[in-house]
Amino acid sequence: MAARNRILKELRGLEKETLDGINIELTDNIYVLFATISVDGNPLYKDQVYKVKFTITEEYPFTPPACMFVKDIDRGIVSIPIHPHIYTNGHICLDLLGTAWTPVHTIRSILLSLHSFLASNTRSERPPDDSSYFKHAPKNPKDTRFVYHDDTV
Amino acid sequence: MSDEEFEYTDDSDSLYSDSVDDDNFKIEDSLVKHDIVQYKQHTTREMMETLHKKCTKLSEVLGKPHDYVVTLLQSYKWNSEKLIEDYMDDPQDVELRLGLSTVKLNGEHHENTGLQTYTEEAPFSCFICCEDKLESYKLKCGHEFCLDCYRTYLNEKVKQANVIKCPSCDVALTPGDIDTISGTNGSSVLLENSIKEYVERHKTYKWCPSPDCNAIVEVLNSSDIAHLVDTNQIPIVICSNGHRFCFNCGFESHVPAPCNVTKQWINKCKDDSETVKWITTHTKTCPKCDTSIEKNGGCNHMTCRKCAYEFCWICLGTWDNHNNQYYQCNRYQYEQAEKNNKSAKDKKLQDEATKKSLQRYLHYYNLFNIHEISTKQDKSRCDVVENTVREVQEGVGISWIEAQFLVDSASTLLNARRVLKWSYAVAFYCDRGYSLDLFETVQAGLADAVEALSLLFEISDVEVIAKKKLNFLNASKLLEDRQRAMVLATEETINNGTLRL
Repeated sequence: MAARNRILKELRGLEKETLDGINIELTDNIYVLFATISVDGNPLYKDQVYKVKFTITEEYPFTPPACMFVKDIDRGIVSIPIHPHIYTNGHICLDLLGTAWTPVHTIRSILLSLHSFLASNTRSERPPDDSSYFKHAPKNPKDTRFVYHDDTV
Repeated sequence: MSDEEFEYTDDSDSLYSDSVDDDNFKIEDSLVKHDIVQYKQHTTREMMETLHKKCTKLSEVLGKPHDYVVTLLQSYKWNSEKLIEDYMDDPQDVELRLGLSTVKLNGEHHENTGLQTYTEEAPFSCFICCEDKLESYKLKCGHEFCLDCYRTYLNEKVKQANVIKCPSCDVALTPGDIDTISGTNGSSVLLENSIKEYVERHKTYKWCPSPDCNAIVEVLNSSDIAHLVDTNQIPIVICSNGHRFCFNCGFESHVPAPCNVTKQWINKCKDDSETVKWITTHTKTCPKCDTSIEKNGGCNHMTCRKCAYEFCWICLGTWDNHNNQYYQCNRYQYEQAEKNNKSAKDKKLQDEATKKSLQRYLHYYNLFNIHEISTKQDKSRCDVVENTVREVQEGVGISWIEAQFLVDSASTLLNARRVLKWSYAVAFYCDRGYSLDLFETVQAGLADAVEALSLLFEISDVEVIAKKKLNFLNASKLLEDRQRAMVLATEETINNGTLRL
């Protein structure tokens, strides 16, 4: 029950106070939601819209939501942002979504991190282990044990 | 050490007398004396007390509360030297880094910390669960969460870290905080994690490798271990639950094989095990009628249920050859192997050598593996032997002490079989020669004695068991003698320089 209350409260908050460049898209299931992100300030991602999928479990907020970039061909969202910490399949290597998560973090804080993650990036490249990861990656990004080896970007 | 009279006592109170000096325990009370290794047995409870002792001492040095020091040490992974060094340099930096600062945070000062209670009219609204609650906990950073959420948070974090921090910032929770929140002795789980780390960090400590055994062994003359290993001696220790293991390898007792032989053998088995597993599955077929037979215990003297053919499980030859002194299947038959290889004459020489060495390896691996499986069966027998003892007592009407020979015999068998098993690993690495001939003769003797005692354990009739008490005792005695002979023969073989690694 805790998870449901908390999600509803967060959604109300996100409705009231919107974030620049971020739109929340709800589904019939409150445990699954999407957000679109656009980062106009960075020439790497100019005029692009990206979509993020959140899958929340009953253990939320004690465990982080599973969060990854997805494509939405129907709406013209055909790419995953190119970033040294984002894999081709949309999985994100971000400590906030793993070991650094605590229950005071929110969907809003994840979205803000992702936004600044993209806004501050200057390298147009995939993670170094992208091709090998892509082949063996689990469906749920939370099943991957990322090594957060680089905090420069 | 000439302190022959010392014995291990379970009296843990005497262990922690006031004179205990940091890591260097006074060794009078509970020294376990073994031929070459001096060591002490610990339980996790004792280790916990050791850690607490360490904290108390440090808390006097630093003039800080016990709780505070526990958190400090946990952050420093119990490296007290490093902690003292850093702390003496800049105590405020250490405190700030570890979230233990007593200085005002963010310019605010939060007086009212700890457990908070609220009323129904004005409840506490928790940020994490977004519900109204009556009880909460506030740290000195001012961040406050309801007790239920804090508990869930702790349960999640306790598995991952040594130090738990405020969900919202870097302020550390002391064991006192954790215990208050969890309502039980929750911080002890953290301390158990610490023991793990402490044991792994200190080379003088080692966990007993037996499954489900939490005992710890501390070696007192750890500097000698390397020398012992170099001179092919095996630093065997026994944990407080009676498990024998090699302190150097952290592995079951592998007497008589020296550590380097053991290491090579294990690696080899790992490399080749898939092939071998494929070749030797758990069943064998009766050499006469081809019925599949699974060996579920007992000796190697097999009798096929279907055709009543008696054969040896190891070499699948007729059992008639195995009686008396004619135990031959531990020897690798070179002449036979030569003959087998002649058919492949046209093959390259290289191929032949590989095949030969594989065959040779398979021969020893099979023997090793058979006894490994038998050891497991022996172990489960050891577990039920107490029941047998009771049955014998009740069935025949003899006293408990008189029936103890069964327990002793079972453990003799277990130890001897382990020695026999590892002697095959040694044999694999030995050069063919006079020395190995001698070695194998002794080995055959040991195998024979193991079989003899193993056979006695096949008896299920309690009256017969009681009647055969003398046989049990004799077989055990013989087995012990031959086991000793095996160890000596191995030493001699190795000293003769026949070992090729």
